[in-house]
Amino acid sequence: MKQELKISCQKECLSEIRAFVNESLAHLDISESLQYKIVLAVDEACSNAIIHGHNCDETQDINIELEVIDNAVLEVKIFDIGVYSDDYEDLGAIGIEEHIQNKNKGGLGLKLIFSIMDKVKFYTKNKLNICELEKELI
Amino acid sequence: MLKISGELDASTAIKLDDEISGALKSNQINILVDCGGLNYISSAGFGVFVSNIKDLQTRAGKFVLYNLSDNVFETFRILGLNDLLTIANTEKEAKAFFK
Repeated sequence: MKQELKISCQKECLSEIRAFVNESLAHLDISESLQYKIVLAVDEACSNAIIHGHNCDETQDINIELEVIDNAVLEVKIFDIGVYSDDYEDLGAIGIEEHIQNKNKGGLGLKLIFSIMDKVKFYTKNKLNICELEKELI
Repeated sequence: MLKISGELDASTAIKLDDEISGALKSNQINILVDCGGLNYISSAGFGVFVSNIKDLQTRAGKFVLYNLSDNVFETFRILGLNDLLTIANTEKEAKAFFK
């Protein structure tokens, strides 16, 4: 069954997103470690949408859809209408040493998402930004 | 010594950043971080450490973190930060890195 959450673009809502993902995964027979990583990846994707896409504009929302297929694959979709910089996806390719040298506070979220999830896809459809994440559960 | 507890994410990381900035301003360059109560950390939390490593290294100081849960340590490992920060198991081991 598809689980959905619509949430305001505020950093303070991230804990609610994590609770939503945890609750959605609770019935699955997966390790606590895997669940933690999935929650982290979804948190990072939503955090990027809230902060980078919407500049924390609380009047705007993002939508999260989460579906487990055959108890084997988790599919997550995050929808938003924010505006991202052209090099947004490139941030994930920056090495940790470069982040340290540049004293970057941000930019590590994409690296975590790509490291944790099996499939990561960003695209735009009908002016809607869609971030698709997929993870095998077995 | 800094003690971190709860969840460190984009909404809470600024507090840790302020504490570390305050420590650096008062010339504390060896910063011990007790992560015993930390049950979640996202990239915003890691960003606080990453953005301060260079300044500490320049001043011959460092972070030493200890008491990390398995999940928190694993996330440091995913980012490769376990090789760039000093991580100890116990407070005693952590303090030994400053002797």
